[in-house]
Amino acid sequence: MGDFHLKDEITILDPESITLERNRFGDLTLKLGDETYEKVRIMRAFPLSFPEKYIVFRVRNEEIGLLEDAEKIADTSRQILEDELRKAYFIPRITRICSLEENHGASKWKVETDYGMREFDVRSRDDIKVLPPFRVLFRDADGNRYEIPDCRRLDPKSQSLLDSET
Amino acid sequence: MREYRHQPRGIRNGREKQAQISEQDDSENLIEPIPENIRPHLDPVIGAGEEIKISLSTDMTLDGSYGTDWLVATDQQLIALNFNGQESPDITQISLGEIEAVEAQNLFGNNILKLRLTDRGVEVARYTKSLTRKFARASPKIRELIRQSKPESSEQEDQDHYGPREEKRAQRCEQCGRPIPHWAGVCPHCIEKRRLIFRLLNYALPYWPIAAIALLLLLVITVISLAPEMLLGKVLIDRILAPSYPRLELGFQNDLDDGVLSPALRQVLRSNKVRLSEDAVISVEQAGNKWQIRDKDNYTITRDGAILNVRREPDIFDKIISFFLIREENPDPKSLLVKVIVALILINIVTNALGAIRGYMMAWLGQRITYDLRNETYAHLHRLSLNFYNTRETGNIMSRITNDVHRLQDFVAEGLQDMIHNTVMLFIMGSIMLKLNWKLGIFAMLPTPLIVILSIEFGKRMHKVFHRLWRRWAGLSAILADTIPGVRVVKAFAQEEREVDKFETRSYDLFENELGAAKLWTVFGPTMQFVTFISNIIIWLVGGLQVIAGEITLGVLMIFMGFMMRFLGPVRMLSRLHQRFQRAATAAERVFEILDTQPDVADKPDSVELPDMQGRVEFRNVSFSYDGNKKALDGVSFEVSPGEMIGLAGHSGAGKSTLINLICRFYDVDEGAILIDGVDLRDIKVKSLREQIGVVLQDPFLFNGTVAENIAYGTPNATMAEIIAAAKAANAHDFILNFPDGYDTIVGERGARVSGGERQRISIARAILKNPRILILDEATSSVDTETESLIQEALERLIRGRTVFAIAHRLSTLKHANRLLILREGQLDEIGTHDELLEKDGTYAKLCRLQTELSRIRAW
Ligand SMILES: Nc1ncnc2c1ncn2[C@@H]1O[C@H](COP(=O)(O)OP(=O)(O)O)[C@@H](O)[C@H]1O
Ligand SMILES: [Mg+2]
Repeated sequence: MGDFHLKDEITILDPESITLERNRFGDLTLKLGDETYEKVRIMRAFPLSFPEKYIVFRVRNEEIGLLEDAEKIADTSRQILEDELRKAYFIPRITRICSLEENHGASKWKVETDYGMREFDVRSRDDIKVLPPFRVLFRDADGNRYEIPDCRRLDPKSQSLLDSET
Repeated sequence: MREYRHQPRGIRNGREKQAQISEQDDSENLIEPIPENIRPHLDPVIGAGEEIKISLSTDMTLDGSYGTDWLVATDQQLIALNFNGQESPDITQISLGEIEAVEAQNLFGNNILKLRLTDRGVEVARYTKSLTRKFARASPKIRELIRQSKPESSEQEDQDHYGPREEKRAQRCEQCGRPIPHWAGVCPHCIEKRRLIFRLLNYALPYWPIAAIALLLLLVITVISLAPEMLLGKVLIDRILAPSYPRLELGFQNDLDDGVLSPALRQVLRSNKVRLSEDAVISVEQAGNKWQIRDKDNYTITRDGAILNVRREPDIFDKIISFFLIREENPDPKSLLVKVIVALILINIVTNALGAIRGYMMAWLGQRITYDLRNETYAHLHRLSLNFYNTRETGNIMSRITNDVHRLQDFVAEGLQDMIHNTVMLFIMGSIMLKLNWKLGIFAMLPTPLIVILSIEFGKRMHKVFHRLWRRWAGLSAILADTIPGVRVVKAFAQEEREVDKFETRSYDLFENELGAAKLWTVFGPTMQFVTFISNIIIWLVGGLQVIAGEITLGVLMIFMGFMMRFLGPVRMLSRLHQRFQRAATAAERVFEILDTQPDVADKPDSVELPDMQGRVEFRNVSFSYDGNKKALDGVSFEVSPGEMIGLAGHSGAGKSTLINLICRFYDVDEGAILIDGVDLRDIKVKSLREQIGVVLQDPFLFNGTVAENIAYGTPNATMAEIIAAAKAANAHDFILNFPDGYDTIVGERGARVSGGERQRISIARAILKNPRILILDEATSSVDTETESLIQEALERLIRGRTVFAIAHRLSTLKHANRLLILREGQLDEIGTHDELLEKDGTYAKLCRLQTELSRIRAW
């Protein structure tokens, strides 16, 4: 029984050796040196704090490894990775807050997002999280997520509506 | 205790040292002066060369009644004087050599000290629970005397205690002996208020310029704020609206006779309420039809033809007002009115502006002091050892940082200044009233003592009532806090009705008490109003008469009325000053108690770092007690080599967790020593030690933050990749990735949003990331289901590689990887050895094993 080493516990993928492709079914395929994995799933380890870093690649429930920085892989692969992430993590960005109704801690939001208009309910203030300095995350009553990347960039009316809730 | 490294026979050395310390500490307490009536019984039995080492009085006699017996020990023998209701005591002499064991039996309501000799047992002293501590110190001392008297004796330790568990006793004040109420934590009778207040002021000291300016502003405001009343009375009424001394038209000429007033003139003056004293004319400067009379300093009467100008001699207040407002001799009433109005407006603006500035300064000062005090207290709390937390309730400690500190802020910022403000206000108003007219002044202040008494009395009652109310409320909340989480039990046993009844009874009690409070309020308010009304009536009556008699002007009466309105408020405030002081002092004491507590476990100046710990752990004759009474560990010795895994087993309460607490140095050992890599634990910097010890507890504590933050709690510099690796090693990675927020998931307060098994694995990841040399697992797997357990077990197996491990487990099967097993029994080391050795020995471990196999068979069935 050898000694325990933390770095043995985890496979860090070399960004140089990663090639991402789509096969004819549209599934994500990962080529890693000589090996090829089909139907690869990707997951963010830190979806909030480091959305573009620490991407986990899995095939079925086996972990292939961890990509530390998505920026470091080749451009074509990166494009595919970003598409895939956008699919896996659907988090519309709120660009404007049109109206806000509050009652007893729950609130009804009507917003404009980069994917269009949207109305959603937030159950309690705990579901609105401000990540310092200026990022705001929402989780609605159904588990959908929304974000405001930088609340200072909102128009003044949206900002004042937001301020009343955070 | 640094000598350990240089002297191989460290144990002896340590014990002697311990003994010396205890002698220094306790010798005064263990030798009570022997009273005259006991001496004669004692002297004959003590030999010439003997020295008294212990002399203690009891508060019970051996036969079980209250009384005083004596227990005396010399360096050779032990003497018990037992009166048992007789005039002269039964004397029992036992030579120390005969004594095999000393037993302090904790019984219900009383204790007995018993000596076990070779052939019999002798009870020597009996005492109530009040003396438990005193005698708890005595028995080790007796044992020590015995050891010294027969140095060759075996090192066998005595069975020290048995009997019911010692109840937690109410803390008593060290000065007055009164029990300390648990909500206070400090004795409210003995706190030195003045000292505390001064100490509190120390916190304001760095900001004294602000405090001084604020106080100055306050005084200015106080003085200015009295001006409107004076202006209204002295100018608006007396000079403009209702001038008391109009011009008089005289219809006769021969009014002055060689400097003496004619009776006719006197009559005219008198009917106009101008009263001159009999020999009033002091100076007459006659010139044709014009003359002037001065009556000491009361009046100036000027005659101008047929017009007589009577003017009251200005008092100090008139002079001040004239200085600011009225420069000319006979001002025009209209322009004077305008002037007064403007002055009133200005005064109002100035006082409000200054008041606002002062208010902000004081708020700043108060908040600043709270900020300092709050942070200092919190920082100090983290420096304190676990012992401090053991004896206090969490809520109590928390409220000291929030409520008490807040109360202090209120007192420092507002209380003191209020006091000064009110005192100054009363003083100035009182002086003005006395100066204006001392007679009316005295009458006006007549009801003041009554108000003081009423306010104090009311304050006291209100305090009592509110306290009672507060307790009722607490009781009601307790019911709710109890039954709502336990609602499944209530329903399962169909006890809804009883719970509702119980609540209703309490609720009604509260209702009645609320009414009691309401009654007090409704009685007090009108009473106060009546007293206020009476003082007004007095002024109307006495002052009215004086106005009629011409002793005072109408304006002065109005000033009195105005002042009375403002006089009573400060009086009531000052009456409650004592209470306010008391409350602030208690709060201060509670906060300062924390600040004054010295951590038991602290670095010595010559403590060393142990950066490259090997992980060799050695216990040398370690004894430890949480309460100074019952030993949780008793003379435990063993040695563990680096990388060895030790399984700790034993019944619950055997001392397993205690042993681990001592390795972490949450507490310091009472006797003996713990050495890591040959260095006494007490010589290692606490931080350096804890950095290399990892702990996984049965119910791990997660802080409210993300999963990643919790894993990196002990290792803030870890990279994200390391955090992920640690989580993988702890079998936590998979479930974490399946959270929508991954490692960014908030675990909630105390980790409430993740399950027990998940919490456990997060805490294992925490320990893995820390990469400690010594790993401690305290029942790490006992609170999870079997499937999770195997995941955790697997993670643990990875974690224990290459470290010194102490693992406590209820299921002995989980200790299968242990190199050796250490079995504790009632604080003592019972067995130590490998699994096979212990089975062969057929002792406690073998028994435990058999029991568990049987149990698991039943379960499997
Ligand atoms: N904080 C404490 N204060 C006072 N007594 C304690 C404390 N913790 C444990 N004890 C007592 O010390 C003895 C040993 O307890 P412990 O070491 O927790 O046993 P276990 O072997 O079950 O872990 C028990 O009798 C227990 O009641
Ligand atoms: Mg325990």
